[in-house]
This record gives sequence, C-alpha cells and structure tokens, in this order.
Amino acid sequence: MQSQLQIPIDKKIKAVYLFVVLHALQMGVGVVGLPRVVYEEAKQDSWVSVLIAGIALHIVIACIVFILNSYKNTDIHGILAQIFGQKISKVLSMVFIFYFYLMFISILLNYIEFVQVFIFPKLSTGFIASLLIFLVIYAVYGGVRAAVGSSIVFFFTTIWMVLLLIEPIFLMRAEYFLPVLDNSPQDIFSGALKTSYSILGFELIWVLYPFIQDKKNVAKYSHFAMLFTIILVMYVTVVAIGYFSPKHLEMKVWPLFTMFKIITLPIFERFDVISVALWLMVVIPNLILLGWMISYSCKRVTGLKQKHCLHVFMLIALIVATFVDKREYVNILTDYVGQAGIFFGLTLPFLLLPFAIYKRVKGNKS
Amino acid sequence: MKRRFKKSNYFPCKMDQLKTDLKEQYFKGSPDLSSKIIEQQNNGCIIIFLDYLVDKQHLFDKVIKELQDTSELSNESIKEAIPISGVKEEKELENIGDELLDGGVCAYIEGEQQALTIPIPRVEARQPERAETESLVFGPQISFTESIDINLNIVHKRMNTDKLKVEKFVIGDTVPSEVRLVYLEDIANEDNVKEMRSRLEQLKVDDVLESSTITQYIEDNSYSIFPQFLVTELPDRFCYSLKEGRLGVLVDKSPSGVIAPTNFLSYFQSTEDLYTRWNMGAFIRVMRFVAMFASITLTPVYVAALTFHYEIIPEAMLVSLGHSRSRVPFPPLLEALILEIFIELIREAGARLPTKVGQTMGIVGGIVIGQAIVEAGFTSNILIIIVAISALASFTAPSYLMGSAIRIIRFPIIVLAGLWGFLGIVFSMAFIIIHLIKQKSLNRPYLAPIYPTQPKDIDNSVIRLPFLFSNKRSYSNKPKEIKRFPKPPKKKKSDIDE
Repeated sequence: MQSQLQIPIDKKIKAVYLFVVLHALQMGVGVVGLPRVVYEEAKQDSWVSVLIAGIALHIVIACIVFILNSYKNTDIHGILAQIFGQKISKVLSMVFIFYFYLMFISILLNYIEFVQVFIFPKLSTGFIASLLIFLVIYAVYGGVRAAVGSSIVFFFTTIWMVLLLIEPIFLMRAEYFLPVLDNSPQDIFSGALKTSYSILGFELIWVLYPFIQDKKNVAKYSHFAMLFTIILVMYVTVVAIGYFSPKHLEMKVWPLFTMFKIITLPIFERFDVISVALWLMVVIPNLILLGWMISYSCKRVTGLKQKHCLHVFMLIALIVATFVDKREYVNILTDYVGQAGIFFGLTLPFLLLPFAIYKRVKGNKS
Repeated sequence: MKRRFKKSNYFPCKMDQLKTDLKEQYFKGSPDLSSKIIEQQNNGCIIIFLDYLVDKQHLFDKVIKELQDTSELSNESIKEAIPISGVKEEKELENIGDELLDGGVCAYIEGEQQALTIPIPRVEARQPERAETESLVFGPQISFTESIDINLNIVHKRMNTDKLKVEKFVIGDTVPSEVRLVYLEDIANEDNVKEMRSRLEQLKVDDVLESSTITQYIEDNSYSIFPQFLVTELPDRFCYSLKEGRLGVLVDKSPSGVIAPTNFLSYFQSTEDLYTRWNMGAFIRVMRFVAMFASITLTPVYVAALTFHYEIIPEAMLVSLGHSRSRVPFPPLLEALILEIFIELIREAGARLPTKVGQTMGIVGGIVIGQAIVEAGFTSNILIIIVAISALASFTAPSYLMGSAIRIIRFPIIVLAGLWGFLGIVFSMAFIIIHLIKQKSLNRPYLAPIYPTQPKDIDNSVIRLPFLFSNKRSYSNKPKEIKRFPKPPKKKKSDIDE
C-alpha cells in the first residue's frame, strides 16, 4: 500500500465542497429520530446536550485536520500504515472499513423502515434495498467526483425542507423548556452521547483528504460543515421540544416526520408521505459517499479492483437487508453503530494525535 | 476514397480518347457527360463536363467564349484568360473525374501534358428563410440553410473579426462532406478545441448525413437520452455561443449548426432572453425551468396520488376528482398512459401531416377526441388538463431535442409512479440527477454550474441580470478571457433634487 497518494488533478475536488459533503453525510436518518432519543436522556435540556456534542465535534474535527495536515497527502490507511506498519495497519483498516460498512447498512435499514411505516407497509425490505443499492452502484461508478457531486446536488434539492418546520415553530410553547438546566449533568452528558449517531459521518474526511485540491482551506470548511450540522440538529431538537408536549415527544419514534405531518399546502393535504419519499434524496448521498469510501478503502487496503469491492459489499448489504427486517435488529444495529462511532469517530483522533505531534516535532528538528 | 486507377500520367492523348476513357472508366457510361470541341487553326481543345453539375451561364460566358476568343491555345494562356479562380492542372484521370463531380469543367488541349479543370459548380440551395423549429418572437429571424457556403457567409457577416478561426475537415468515406470547426481564437479554450479537433479527425464513417447525426457520433455518451451538443438552426444563437467561448461545427448539407460544449441548463436558454429586458428575460428563463419540472412531475404525481396516496389530496379537490374519476374503468396508471400516448400521437401526426391537413387534424385530434374521451368516461377531465399542461410545458424548451427528451423520460417515471407511488417518483428523479452529474459534454461537466458549483455563473444559467452586472462569460466553458467587457463606471449618486 502506498503511503503517499498521488491523485490526478481531474479527480481532485475543491475544499469548499467539504462543507456540503461532510454535512450531507452527517444529515440522514439519525436526525429524524434524534429529538426523541436525546429527550429520553436529557428531557427539556436536550438542547444543552446537542450544544455539548457540537463543541466536542469541533474539537474532534480540529484534531483530525491537524493529524491529516501533519501527514500530508495521505488518508487514514496511509497514516495507520506509517504508525503501525503494514501488517497491523491492514487489520486496523479492515476494522475501520467494517465500521463504515455497518453504518451503511444501518442507514439503509433505517430508511427502509421509514418507507415501510409511512408509505408502503407491505413493500418488501429487499426490494427497497435493491432500489437504493442500484442508485449507489450507479453513482459510485462515476468515481469520487460523481459521489461528491451527488451529495452537492441532493443537498440543494432537499435543503429547502428546513423551511417546512415554520408551521411547527409558530405552535411552539416556551413552558416546555422550563425549568432550564434542571436535569443532572450525567443525563445531559448521556444525551450528548446519544446525539452521536446523528452527527457521525465527518470521518469521511479521513479518506477524502488526499483528494482535496486546496488543503489549506480544509480546516475552515470542515468547521463550517460541523457548525451547519449542529445548527440544523439544534433547530430540529428545539422545535421538537417546543412543539410536542413532554409525554408526546417520548412516544413519537420519528418526531421530525410527525412534525411534517401537520403541514398543509393548497395542493397537498398532508406532507409526511412526500417528505418520507423525498428523504430518499437526503439519504442517498450518505449511501453513495459511504459506498464510495468503503469500496475505495477496500481497494487501498487489499489491492483488489474497486468495482469488485463495490459489487461484493453491495451484494452482502442486499442480502443482509433482505433478511434483517425486524425493528429490534435495526434498533440494535443502530445503537451499535452509534457506540462504535463514539470510538471510531470521537476517540480515535485523540489516540492518533500523539503520533502526529511526534511527527511534527521530528519534522521540525530535521 | 479508394484509388481505382494507377497513379501515373495519363497524358498526352487524343481529345476523343479522353472523353471515352472518362466515360467508360470513371463514370461507367453516364449519359450526362457532355463535351464540346473547340477547333482553332493549329489545334483543338475539348471541354468535358457533367451537364447538371455546372453553371451553364458561366460555362458559356466565361469558359467557351474565352476559349474561342483566345488566339493561341495553351494551358498558360487559358489560365490567364479565364476569369475564374481555382483553375488547376491535373495529370490523372481520377482527379479529373473527381473535379467533374464537384462541378468542374475539364479543358484539354490536344498535345498538352496536363488537362485543366475549371470549377464552375451550380449550387442549388435554399436561400435563408425564417427559422421554423426554433422560432423567435423578437430578434433576428434568419436561419441556416443546407449550403455550408451560405452558412459560413452568415456566420462571417455576423462576426466580422479576424479572430474567427475556421478549420476544414472532410468526413465520410463514400460520401465525403465538408465539416467546419468554427471558434473565436482569443476566447475559446485550447483544450476544448484540441478535443473537438481530435474527435472530428478520428471520425470514420461512410456518410455524416447531417449535423445532428455527427453530434451522435462524437458525443461523450451516446447511450444517454439527453443531448450533449446543442443543435440549432439559429445563426444568432450559434454566434452568441461562439462569443461565449464555445465551439461551433457546421456541416455541409445540413441546415443546423452544432454547439459544444454545453451544459444542461443551456438547453433552456434562448437568445431571446437577452433581447428582451433583463427582468422579462429572467422571468421567462425561470418559467422554463418550472415548466420542465412540472412537465416531468405533474402526471406522475397524479398517478401516485390516485393509486396510493389518497390522503395527500386536499378535501376540496377530492370531491371533484372522485366525481370525475368515478366513471373511469381503468387504474390511474393505465388512464395516464393512454392519454400521454394520445398526446404524443397528436404531436407526431401534426409533425408528419402536410400543413394543409395538419390544422384540421389537430382540431379533430385535440378537441373532438379529447372531448369525446372524457364524455365516454375513459379518462377524468382533470387528467386531461394535467397531461395537456405537461405536454405544453415540454415545448417551452428552446431546444427541440431537449423538449423531446423531457417528454420521453416522463413515461418511465409515470410507470414507476404507478408501481411505487412517490417512492418511484423520487427514485427516478434521483436516478436522473445522478445520471446528469456523471454526464459530460466535450469533457466538461454537464451539470455545471450546479456541480461543479459556481455561484457567479448564475446570470449565465438560471436567471439573467442586467448587463451592468452580467459582463462575464460562462465559467463552465473555461474561456481564455472571462470578461466580455469592462464594467461601466458607476454613476455618481446624486441627491433627490439637485
């Protein structure tokens, strides 16, 4: 495995796109259920939990960018190889890929569940999965530019949905937020941990970094992306807390879609059906970016063809999606991914940080 | 063209021998090969030509008359005497035959080592007329014709600058056609020119047929339904695109020019947007995008809502919709497909029918059958409205090919909407978007300036701004010079009553 990557200029992307790409991968299925998940822990102070998660996120991303900058033109696999040597690093990279693959499957299954609950209860899981996987394969065949491009175009086609929450905003009540900071710090902190599943995805930068043209802007735009995600997550959480009564919110599995339900337009009586279908456009960039990342990383680590990696991974995902169609399994998987994310997303950068600092210090001396 | 004769000097020979050889060996006994022998005191001269290919007026006034008037017949003296450019000396029978096919006259003086060919072709061409398929309300009405000379003339007239470069290609094995690559030297991107040149040079076909077929040969992705090169019959659009830094291709025998590279949004722009005032232009441009979106989604949404998602139909509409659909015996999917195909039939028949019958059939097809189909209870009248609107909307695209593409991709979307409701619609939309992202036109991204995102390009794509602010060319073509003209100096802001 090469440690320094030489990416041809026509494959490179501008750092500005990081803003949308990282954000697009973070937004997805998590935010739909997030208000309830956090509320179960931190009650009316959920917004504080999200705030803490946001601050943590910024620290983590600063750390990741620092590490990447110190190792120059390489990705996580190259960094691991430099630190631990070829053999151990391969195993570690595999684990890393497997984590992303689990994330892929959990996003896939979660979206399929939305569809089955809101639109077509009888449509088989395998069938919806094959639709999504078809799109993913088609897009990933276009390479990194198509993967990044799809996240950008789909971002533009779906970002207007934040305006849909205007109607619930007018129905918010201030007393649902009171008393402020009444819950114990433990609750608030565990609420912040629960937020993790919704804000995972920034790890993409580990793999995307060598593809970026103007590396000096990486830090700026990735921080913007984190800020934007946190603002959106905060927005959804605050509106949900203010709109639902406390008991009510705990009962709603997906508060965001429930809030979409009350929206009435002159031509559409209910909007939730449409919004769940449109959510495909929010979810598909996640799947495409993850699909690209998994197949590319697999190529990097094993030396197989990216096409073959992609086919194998997607086939397994399809099989898994066909057989795992119970809500409990999906829940368990989602929880596992959230917990794994706390390690791979939030902790791993700090573990690698000493090596990066050592490299910098050594580099300065010589 | 393959060589059929030995490459050797044919001359000198007898005058009659030349004619018989040409007739037997090259033209295989064509009855239209005419000749005339001009006798003078010391020697004679034969002129050979194909009857229907030469300009008779020129033949008599400039060739025969001059030959008769010349006192001493020799190649040199004839060359001087005949007031026509492009007189050549040929040694081989095949070259002479080729020249004759291009509308030349062969003059041979007995005893000479070479024959002369004098090009006086008769060009049967339509004079430039009003544009038919891409008509403008406002602005230049002239359109290209089938003759490349006239087309080049029009282009040169519109852009009388020495920066206009024209490169010549001859493409086609059995039927060679002249193809010209036209661009502005100081604006067009080198890489684009190189790419286009190499694609044209590498093109090996028997016959290019037309400019819209040549685009299909050299396009980036020939499987896609979306056109990647813009085919237009409007010289003003052609020249405007050249000024934007794009390349133009003109093909002989074709009444339209090809513009490349293009992006998806440029198919919804018309030069008319520039001729009207900026606010009108911006409004109309946005209208076209809305129309395209409506054209793609309206019928599928109807099908999806009535098949699966009754709950999204507002109460007030539900009653009238239910009433009008109560007598319809088909499921919404079939109902919509029948009507859509019906509309396509009217369009296709309208295009094929002779103009005199066309209008009558339009009325019979459109109004009478439309009315009857509702009264017979085959479709609901709401669907008629929706289908008619989406058909109408698809015709707003200033590019005919793009309009057709939009009309056709609607069919699979309708079927998917009938099968999986809104999920089907969103799935097909997502598929189209990914497809567009992957598309390229002359190696430039097709979906620019959406991706790669270029917010500064908004005045060249989605809307239009006053020229005061919109003084730049489109970034997506990567022109050499981005500025069209310097920004005018700002006017001093004065107080109300000064």
